[in-house]
Amino acid sequence: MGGLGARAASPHRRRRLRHDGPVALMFLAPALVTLLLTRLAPAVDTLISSFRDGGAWSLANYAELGAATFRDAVVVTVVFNAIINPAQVLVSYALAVALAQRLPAVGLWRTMIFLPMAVPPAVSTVVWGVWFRPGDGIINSLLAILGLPAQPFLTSPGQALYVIMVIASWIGVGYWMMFLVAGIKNVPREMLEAAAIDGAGWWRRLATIVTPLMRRQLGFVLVAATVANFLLFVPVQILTRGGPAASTNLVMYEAYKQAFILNDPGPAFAQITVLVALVAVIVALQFRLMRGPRHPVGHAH
Amino acid sequence: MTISFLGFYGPDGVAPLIEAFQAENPGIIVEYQSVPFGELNQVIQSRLANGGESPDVYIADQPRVAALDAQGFLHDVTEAVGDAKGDWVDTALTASTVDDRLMALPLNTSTQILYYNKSLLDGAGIPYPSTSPDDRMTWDELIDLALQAQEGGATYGFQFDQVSRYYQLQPLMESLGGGSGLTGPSNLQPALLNDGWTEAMEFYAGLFADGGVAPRGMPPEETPAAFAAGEIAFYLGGTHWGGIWELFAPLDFELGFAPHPYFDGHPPVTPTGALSLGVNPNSPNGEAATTFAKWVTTSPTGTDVFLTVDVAPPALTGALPAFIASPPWNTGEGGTTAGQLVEYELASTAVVRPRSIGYIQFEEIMGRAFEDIRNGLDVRETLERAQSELADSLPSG
Repeated sequence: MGGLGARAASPHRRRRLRHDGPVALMFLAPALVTLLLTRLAPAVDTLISSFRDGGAWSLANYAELGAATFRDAVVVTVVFNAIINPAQVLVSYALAVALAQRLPAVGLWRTMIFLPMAVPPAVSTVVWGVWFRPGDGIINSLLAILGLPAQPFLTSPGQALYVIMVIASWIGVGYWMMFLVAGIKNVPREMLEAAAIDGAGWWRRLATIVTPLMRRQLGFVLVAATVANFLLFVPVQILTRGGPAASTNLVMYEAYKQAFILNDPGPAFAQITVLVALVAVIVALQFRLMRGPRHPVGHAH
Repeated sequence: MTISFLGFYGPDGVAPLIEAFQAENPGIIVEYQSVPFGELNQVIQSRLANGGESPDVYIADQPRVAALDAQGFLHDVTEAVGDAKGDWVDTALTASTVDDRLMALPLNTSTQILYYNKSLLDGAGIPYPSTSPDDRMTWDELIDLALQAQEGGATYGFQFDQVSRYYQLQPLMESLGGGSGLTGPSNLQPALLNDGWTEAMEFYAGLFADGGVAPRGMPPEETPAAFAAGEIAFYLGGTHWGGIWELFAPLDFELGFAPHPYFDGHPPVTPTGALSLGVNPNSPNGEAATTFAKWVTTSPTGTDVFLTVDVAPPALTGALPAFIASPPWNTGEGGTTAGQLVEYELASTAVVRPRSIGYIQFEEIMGRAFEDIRNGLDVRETLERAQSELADSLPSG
């Protein structure tokens, strides 16, 4: 992957790209049209609809966002993301570092960690729901073997949000790990060898060479995880429907409930607009933090 | 002329109904459209909004009739039906009526039976409870038996069919004098903060607490399968399950029937209500659509064939005897058949869900509050939170 940047920069390559432009566009057209119709058009429609009420322009939908239910949902969503995103980046990085080592059967481990991604989220959610059942769930049976007391999990307002985090991360971490493994593989071996000759130990090399060089990949994973987790829906819809005591009522679910259960789509359009704006601001902040020093190590050579 | 009919039954099940109708009503062709049960209300909302002309006839959930009418989605069938409305069970008729106007044609009704697993009772040495409404158990008596069944090997002593849903739990509050939870001239004011509601909900919470008889974390969709798998001794469930287990999914244990339990010193109350047919007021084929809806709900052939489509008790009084004489309803303990029990409950103890244009919001918010209480959250605080959430969400009368 690292070599691609160097090749694309050559003038010869650039000329050919320009020549191939119309052909490329033709091949891309189906994807672009689909993107426009299924992503962009509904987004614009949502934005416009959020300012409509009874056939006229209005801010009425936004006025309803003052309700305690929505404010609580925003708090839950922010808390959820403040914990799950750093946690997912850390865990997937730790896994990536471990699996980039020369381990026996490393391909098997990687496949196993990536596999949850290939299971439909609805299916894995249902299975996890059965595992986390307070009465006869596997997790409580395991706790009992260890001599620990049974936990209420999804039936407790203090634990449910964390259980949702575990389920979402089980699916997400393997996927993010793959990007990071690819990044680690691209760290120039000479640099690591030079550092080792200079006496830098494994931890030192990880902290001062690998991690700074991984800034872009880690940044990508953080941004992508943030977007995915702000829009998380399936586990909440299947397992908790926002409960207990609204403790897992993420904004995505609140908007769904408003539109499709209460049959009142107006405020749902406003809620989604606010959610997307919130994600945009947070992602912009993340990009800014990720930019870091002007000449990071990787660009110096 | 072709009319469209929207419902959630499989097309194969509905085919005989349409064939029979077309044979008796030449010139009208019925085209059936099927959507999953969970999506029916959404589909009705999106297709009838802004004056949509199709479907001509659709299945309307009885407690939603008032809300559908408020949106202008129902054709007034008072005149078209005329005196024939006297033939329907009172509760089904009431649930389809708004301000003395008949807005939908009742298809069927429902009640609940305390089903029990005879093998599990045998295992615990519990004699089979009687099917007669005269021998109705109190809740305390039932809980004792349920605990006994658990000691005798049942995974769970008891479970509700529609656990944490309003339909299932309304009888608890009504029986203790707490009312439906909605009040005011149009049923748009929440009324959850009274002793009846608190007592009923404390009782509900206790069933699921440590040392209780019923499990937390099992959603309503999973309860019939858990009973059918032999995990539950006593199951307070809808009448349609009896028919489904008889006809489509035989159980590998013998089924017993007892009346819905009651609180000592309080009147017995049972849930009721099911489905009606609504006619689209914007339908260009209004007359043919009404003819079809009337045929399904009032004609002998229509009601008879419909019983093969849906196994719930028919709303038509005249069709009830055939229903209660059919298996499994023709059996029972103590000289009373389950069918006689069904007939008694429908006539004497059934309470209709509140008719309100805010019913959809009410049902949703109550469902979450019940689930919180089941999970052990403080009853009073949960009811207060639901009360204020309702005050925010119910349309103003």
